Amino acid sequence: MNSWHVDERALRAYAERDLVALERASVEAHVMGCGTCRSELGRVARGSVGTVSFEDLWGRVQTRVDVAPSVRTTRWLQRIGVSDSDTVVVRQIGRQCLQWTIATTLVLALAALAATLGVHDSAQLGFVLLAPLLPALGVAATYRLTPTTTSVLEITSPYSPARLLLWRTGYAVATAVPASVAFGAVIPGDPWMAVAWLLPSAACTALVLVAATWTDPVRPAAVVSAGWLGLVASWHVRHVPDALVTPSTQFLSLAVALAAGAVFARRLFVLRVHVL
Amino acid sequence: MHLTIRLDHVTHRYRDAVALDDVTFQIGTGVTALLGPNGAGKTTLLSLLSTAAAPDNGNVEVFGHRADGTLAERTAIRRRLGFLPQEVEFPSGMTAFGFLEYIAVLKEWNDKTARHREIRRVLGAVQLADRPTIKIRKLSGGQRRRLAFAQALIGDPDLLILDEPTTGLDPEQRAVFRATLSERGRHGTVLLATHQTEDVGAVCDQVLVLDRGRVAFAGDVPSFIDSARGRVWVDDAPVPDAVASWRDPNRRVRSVGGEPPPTAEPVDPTVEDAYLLLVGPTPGVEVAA
Repeated sequence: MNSWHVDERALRAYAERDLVALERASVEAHVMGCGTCRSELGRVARGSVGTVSFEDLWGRVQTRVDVAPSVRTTRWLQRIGVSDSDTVVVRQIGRQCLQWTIATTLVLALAALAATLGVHDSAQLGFVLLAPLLPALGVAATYRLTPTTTSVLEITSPYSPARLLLWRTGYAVATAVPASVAFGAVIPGDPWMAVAWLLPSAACTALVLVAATWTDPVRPAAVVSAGWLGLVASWHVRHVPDALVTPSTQFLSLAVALAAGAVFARRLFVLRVHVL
Repeated sequence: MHLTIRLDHVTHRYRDAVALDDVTFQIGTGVTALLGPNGAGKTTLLSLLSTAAAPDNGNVEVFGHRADGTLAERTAIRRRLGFLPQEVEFPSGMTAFGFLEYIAVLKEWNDKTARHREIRRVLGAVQLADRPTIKIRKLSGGQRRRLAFAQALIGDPDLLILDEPTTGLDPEQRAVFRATLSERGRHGTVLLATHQTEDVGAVCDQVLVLDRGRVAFAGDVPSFIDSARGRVWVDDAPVPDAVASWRDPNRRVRSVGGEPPPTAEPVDPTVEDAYLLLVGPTPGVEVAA
């Protein structure tokens, strides 16, 4: 026999489907084993139905009809604690950047195919060039692919610009990293290559992120890309194809990423931007 | 009348071109028309007021906050602002409801139930309540314009800034639009940039005319119309040296400005007449300010 019972407010929220998944599961588990709460739930549910106005009920029905069913990503984001309103933003970013996501995945897949067909050197060079840059370029793409007037509406809205920037960065990273890791795994050569690009990538992305607090991220992304291409070209000319996996490259990348991250945090503080 | 907008000696340039030149004016509650020929600086002015851009010189204040101030000041303005740009390019693949939901989230409507209720309200206000799930690309030009207007109405903002909102609307839709604006003007501020001078007479309390980056007129609508009194005629032929002449519905020729012949009959001026006299090619027109 249970020594505690679910309070009426929680039961009412359960009956009206206003609880998040974890709370709902908890109430459900308790109610299944507690006759008192079960009968109380029946009473609350009847009362709840009785107090819902027709207008509210009709509003809920309309909303169910109006809103596209949640895609798996949305449900997953909500499960890890992303708020409902932020999932709307992420969905919008995904919709605007679909072409970018498809294009990058296709390029990586073709490069991986080339590697498996025996064009090893070119595939490796392509990988070292592309993989670290994709998240940084993705951040710029999320801005460039937004229609100009939608950008104006974003700028003139009270939604935190830093928060929007971070969601866009998160989207770019989340879509580019798995494809790049998969590509890296099929490249012959140093097995560390599959993950060695992550720190340089973090450095490039952090540099774009911090520059984006001053200006449109497209220009810094172009500058960072040019810098990275120059560095890779110099490795190629000096015949050091494995320079990416050396400790010096990794430490330098980590230092740049940390420094840029610190500047970004400082910028948020100076600008009094509340991200969350 | 509560003061909503105050511009003090504002200048803004695009490289060498001066878009706004030492502009000073104030706007309070009610509907204010913003008139001016293409290139007069209207869109630049709206960008400054909507916090999308900052002036090179001078001070822009909205609700007592600097529009080029700290992020906190700009956010305070944005929370009370509804903005309709001249052309709204919609993100591809979206539904009307989806687009409005994104804008509502940007406007901090975080509660899902309240947000959806608000979206249905603004869809109803622009007569698109029966088309929430349709893809935007399948909407007509007028319907898209109404959808763009709907996003500006989200949250019933205290300040509505509208750039050419009636472009592409049929007469019936324009009537609905005017009714909405009149209602909004009773308890808030509406700044309406338009080339449709008939909208000005129908819904506006005040007129602000920009010409080549400077304020050519700022005052109420009757004063603006009065500025053309005694300078508009009808006759069987155009008046020589008139700023503009055209045939009216009675098959007579209406002329604005110029030296009328003895046969010309003076008629009551309209907003359009006053506007043509003010920004037309005839120099030295005296206008009440």
